[in-house]
Amino acid sequence: MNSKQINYFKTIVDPKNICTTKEELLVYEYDATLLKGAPEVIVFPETTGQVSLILAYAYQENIPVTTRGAGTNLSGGTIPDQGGIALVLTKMNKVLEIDFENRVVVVEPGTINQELQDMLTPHGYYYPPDPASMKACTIGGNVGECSGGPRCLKYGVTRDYILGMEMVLSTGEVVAIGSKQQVNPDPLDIVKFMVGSEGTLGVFTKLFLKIKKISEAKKTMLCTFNSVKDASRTVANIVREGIVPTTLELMDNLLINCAEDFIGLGLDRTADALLLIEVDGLKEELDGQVEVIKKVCEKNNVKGFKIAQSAKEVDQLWTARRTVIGAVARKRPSYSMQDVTVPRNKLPDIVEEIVNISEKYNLPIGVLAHAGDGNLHPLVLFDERNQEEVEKVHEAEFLICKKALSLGGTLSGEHGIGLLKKPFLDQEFAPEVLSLKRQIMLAFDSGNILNPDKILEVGK
Amino acid sequence: MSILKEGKNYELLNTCNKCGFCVQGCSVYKEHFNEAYGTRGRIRLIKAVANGELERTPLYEKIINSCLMCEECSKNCPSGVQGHLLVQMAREDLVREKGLPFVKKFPLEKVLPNNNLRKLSFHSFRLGKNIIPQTIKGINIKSLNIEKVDFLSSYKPIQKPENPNLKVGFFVGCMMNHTMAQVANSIVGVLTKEGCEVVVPTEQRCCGTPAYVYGHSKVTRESALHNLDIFKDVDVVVTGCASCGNMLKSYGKLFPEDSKERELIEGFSKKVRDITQFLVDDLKISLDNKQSSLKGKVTYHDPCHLVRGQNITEQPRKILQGLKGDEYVEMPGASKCCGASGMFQYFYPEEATAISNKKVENIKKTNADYVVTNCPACYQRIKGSLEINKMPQKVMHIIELLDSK
Repeated sequence: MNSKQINYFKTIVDPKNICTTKEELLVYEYDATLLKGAPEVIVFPETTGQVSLILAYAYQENIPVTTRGAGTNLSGGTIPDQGGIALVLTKMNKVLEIDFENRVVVVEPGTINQELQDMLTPHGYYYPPDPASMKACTIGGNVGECSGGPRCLKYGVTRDYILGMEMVLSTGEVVAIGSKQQVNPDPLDIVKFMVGSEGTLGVFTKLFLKIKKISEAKKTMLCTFNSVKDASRTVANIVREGIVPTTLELMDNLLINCAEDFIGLGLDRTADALLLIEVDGLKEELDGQVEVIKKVCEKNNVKGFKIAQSAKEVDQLWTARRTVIGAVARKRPSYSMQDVTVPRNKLPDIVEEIVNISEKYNLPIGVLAHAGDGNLHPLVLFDERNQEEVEKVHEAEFLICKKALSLGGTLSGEHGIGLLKKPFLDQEFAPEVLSLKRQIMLAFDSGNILNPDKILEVGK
Repeated sequence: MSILKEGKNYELLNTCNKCGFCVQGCSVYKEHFNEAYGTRGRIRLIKAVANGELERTPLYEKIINSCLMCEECSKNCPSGVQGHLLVQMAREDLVREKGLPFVKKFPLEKVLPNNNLRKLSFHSFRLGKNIIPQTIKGINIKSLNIEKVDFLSSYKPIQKPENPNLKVGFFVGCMMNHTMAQVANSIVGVLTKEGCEVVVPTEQRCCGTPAYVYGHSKVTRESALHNLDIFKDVDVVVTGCASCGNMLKSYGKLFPEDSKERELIEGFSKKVRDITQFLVDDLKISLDNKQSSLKGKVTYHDPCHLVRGQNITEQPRKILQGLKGDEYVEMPGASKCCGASGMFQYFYPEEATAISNKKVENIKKTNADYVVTNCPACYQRIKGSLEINKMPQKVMHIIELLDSK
């Protein structure tokens, strides 16, 4: 980009919302992955109008635009690897409307997930998608990545909660799609396309979200097992019994120990696997569900079965779960995480393969899984300064992805493709499907300026 | 070689996995919404300086210096990265490589560690503050009480109880000494009433927090050795200032491991107690028949250096909930920084004012009559901000509630 172009942006937004210093460019070159790529300018719009003018100009000048929220994403999706503009929406962070009658809220994309929850909780409501980073990440980012979270087994992912949006197209036109209605009769539902589009189809400026009433009661259980196999069989059996817990989270021995180092809850450090199970609903139906779950656990050789007794205990268990990924970093300086998903009865197979791969490459790999929906986050630990080790990590991850696909799974459950999983995409989709996807992307963004070549190489 | 490149320091810089969870509690980030002003960004830049990718530019200095050192990021980091310590290290590096500007160098090096100069400067400030505007850079100067005669200069030892249970050294701290002599007297009074022999060494020196947080720990090391010597004969060292307590308890990290000094200073640090911690955990005072000196609704603000610095949250609440005659209400965001953070409020007035106003908003939500805290710096900042916002609440130091004359 040249200085004329950069100066033009100063006529659109307050100059304090334009950053070009080396210091600031350096801190927008990364996300939560190990990938890097610096933007040439960082722009913080504050209104839809500004976003529109920025995109219109970027389109005219053919400048790449990478939209970004809190940058907690795990796929390289917000890395401006082609330079251009980092369009950071963190200043568009207002909750515009909370409508309990219609169970809809309208937010700007930079709203922090937890801050929305904090506004809803006193009224007995919540917004179900709960990614581990919810205290930091933005709703706009959640929609861009179609974030899930521990609760999504029962309540679904972000896509199930987006009713509509105001967005800016790559040419700068502002469009509204969907509506605040709970039922969307649109036969070609564009809203569904937008969720999980990773910033390649448009820039959201307002989002209409569904909210839910907080359930009357919940029970949280902590079960430990001597083998991952027993734990994963338990998962499949519980669902088979007809119970859908809000949460069925699995941690392996390495992660149990990391969580214990960080929080110190007195988890069983010798257990090979742990399941965190939560059910919610009406008070009177929960005891029966807990009883069934307990029986299933016992049938699968449960080592320890415990029901959390106080709200504080529940909180601590959840903190342990939400922070365990970072806590892993205590073991080695770097980690890399995959997001493969397999049919839930195939969990033991993929876990077994991961253990083999870990031994083969002599790399510690921890397994964290939203086990209820077969979504695994294998965490490979290494030191990014050791090039040889980095190569091994790439190979190991490739094998994990391949195995997941061979078991009938997919590459990404909830983190998106971004840059990280792009090389594996043709393993999952037929060329015809990829071509369709390309055409859709070009239909929205003919100039290929919006997060160009993320997910797929589009070409022009 | 820069200290940033030194083995252990450089390793620490490389433990950040850039997950971004640190920004969730960062009050300064939430005023900018710009990565550069959150911990993850700061760490990236410190690493860039260490690697020689980036010069120590004025903007870099601003980014490094505009951290509250409130320790929220360090508590939130699942990887256990101590963001505030990395920022402190970067400031230490800046002092070594570029030196301090006079406005910081003079007070940190000359005034605070020197009891006479410190007295003189507070005294001049007291005289001067009548002819300057009400507020400077959002700091409510007029509301700041400065004692005509500071506590240490006027202190007369009170009679020790018969058969005292412990010999307690009282570390008053500069702010309390010069702005809250009455509170200091109350601490001595309450401790004596609880059966302690209280000694107040008048030659005690600034704890060294200001010098430490601005990266000039050489000065702090000298203060540490001086205070170690002055308090060598007591069983316990009690303070009513969160920041002083935090510093006194962590002097050890300023000295090389396995050094003789380290061992001695860690022995001293082990004796240090916050006043609420001492009353509740050590003396186990009975609150059954204790009447609060206040009537009405009372809320509590957690000082950063108490709640995160020393993990003290329950002791003050036990006192407040146990005292009879007033009603305790918890405020939302009680543990969020008040915006004072030493010289931060002067150098970054826009951020500091916005952060303080959030505190004021939270106080408002409680409908409390009184805001109680445990740190003279928070006390002054909250008092000043409440007045600027024309709020009726009175600010009290927690000991004032226990001191029913």
